[in-house]
Amino acid sequence: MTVARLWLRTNRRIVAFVGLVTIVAAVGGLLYASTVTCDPNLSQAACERFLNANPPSTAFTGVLALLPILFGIVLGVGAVGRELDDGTATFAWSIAVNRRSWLTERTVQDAIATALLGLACGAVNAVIVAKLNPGHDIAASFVGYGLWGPILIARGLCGYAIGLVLGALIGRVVAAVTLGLIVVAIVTPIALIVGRAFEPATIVPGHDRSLSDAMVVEVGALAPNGTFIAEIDCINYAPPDLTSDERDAWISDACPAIASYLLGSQMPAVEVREAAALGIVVLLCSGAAFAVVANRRP
Amino acid sequence: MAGDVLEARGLSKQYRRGVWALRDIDLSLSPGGVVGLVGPNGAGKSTLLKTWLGFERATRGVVSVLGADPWRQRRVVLSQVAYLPQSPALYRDLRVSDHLDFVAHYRGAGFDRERASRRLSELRVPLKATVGTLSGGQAAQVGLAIAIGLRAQILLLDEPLASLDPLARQEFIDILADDVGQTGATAVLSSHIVSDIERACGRLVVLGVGQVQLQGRVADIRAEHEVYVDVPPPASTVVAKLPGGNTLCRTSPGTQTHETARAASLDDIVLGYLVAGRGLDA
Repeated sequence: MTVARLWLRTNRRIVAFVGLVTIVAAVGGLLYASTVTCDPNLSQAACERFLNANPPSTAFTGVLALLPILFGIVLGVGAVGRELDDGTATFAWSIAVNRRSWLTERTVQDAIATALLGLACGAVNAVIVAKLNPGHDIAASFVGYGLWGPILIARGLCGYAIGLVLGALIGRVVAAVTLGLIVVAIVTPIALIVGRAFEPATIVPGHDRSLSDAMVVEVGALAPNGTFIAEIDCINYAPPDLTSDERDAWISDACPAIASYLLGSQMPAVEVREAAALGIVVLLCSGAAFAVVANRRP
Repeated sequence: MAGDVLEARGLSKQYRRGVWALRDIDLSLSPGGVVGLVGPNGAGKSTLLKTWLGFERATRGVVSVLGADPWRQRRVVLSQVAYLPQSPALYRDLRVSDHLDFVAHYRGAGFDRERASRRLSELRVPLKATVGTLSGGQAAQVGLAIAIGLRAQILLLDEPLASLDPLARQEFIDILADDVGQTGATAVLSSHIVSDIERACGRLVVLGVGQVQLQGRVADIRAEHEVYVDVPPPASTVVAKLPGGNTLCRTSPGTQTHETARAASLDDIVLGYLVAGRGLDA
């Protein structure tokens, strides 16, 4: 209880700020999503494109999706980096004789706060995304993937762990936060790639609008020998004595456009794998942070 | 030596940039009382205290606190040591009472919260005040109250008097002496203000350029030194020439001194040994 109260007092400014931003974005996003409507003459697909392309909806959902990561980085850096920067680590580590216990208490509280924020933002964004995509079961769809749901918790915790280890290593808040943003910007797309790397893609001729729940993995062409190639590589198969126009015509006939998709039903598996990849980053960074804290001077 | 609470044998500490903060320090402190650690800025006082605390690792030599290696047995050592840095690095956003709660949480029964609160009340430091609103002197008092509340066998106080006004310094020294007298603890008080050390400490260690220049009981040290004014002293007794032309000499107690010699003040003695340690001729 004491530790939780002290945590709240120590972090009250950042908690108040993030709480305010979350409430504004959530209320704004929900209000916008419930009031904006399409022209009745538009098809469902066109309506969804209109709704999703609207800058206000993008802004609200984008802010809510990014908040857990940013909050995580700031809290992570604050856990050790701010203590080192402010000099309070000297006091804390002379009082808390077991640094591992001290850091465990800090990280558990911070992680709970980050996870709660990720949960809230993910839940609000799920409602907004569902309202803006009325024809989809977003739980089995890549529509709005990464904007909602438990993946925001995993990303928030990843940001936290990266901030934690960078803060412990660098001991300077501004430098650690800046570097943390860069590292997270590199790590999160890699986690998504890992998440979808093990899922079998479905190859479909052309760009099938009916697969709007799916995620496009790769767009290319079907080579005359039946392999998946980049459209531009089809030129290698063309007879050499054709004119430019003849060659274009030959390519469009010989190499029909195809694309590979992950179907909407594969979304939960991709999400779990991406979360697992982020989880590994969390474990590695947290372990490194504990090792650094145990051995460094305050 | 068996029974010594703080020891350093052949202790050297080199920082990454190649600077030697301590060189071959040999020091043993027996239990009880306040020991003054005097030296100019950069003499290695903070490094020595942090090495005893397990916050710095010795480059060479052996360090022990109550018989334990502070780097390898940090938990054992820290549970017996209270540390107060120069600028008490407290949480600016937390209240004084929050700090007491923090310490009570981590030290449990090892922290006498009532005792710390009582000290703070005596010093008129409001428990509900946020640390960021306190003066430097009040913040130091909070640090001292916490250190006292820890009931530690050893108090390592790293220049806590530097930011205090004369009245606050006197209060600080009185409380420290009172606590050490009551508990039998050993306090090491580092400072470069010799008059404070003289008031507070029964023993003295002079540290200069990373080496121990002088150590002993303050009374003995004073009895063994004198200053020659205007006349050349016996060469074998000279410690150093002091700024202004006088000469600090070391004599055996009871030795007949020259009629122009006067008793050396602790300021003279510390200055003389620092000059001698640097190899300078003032």
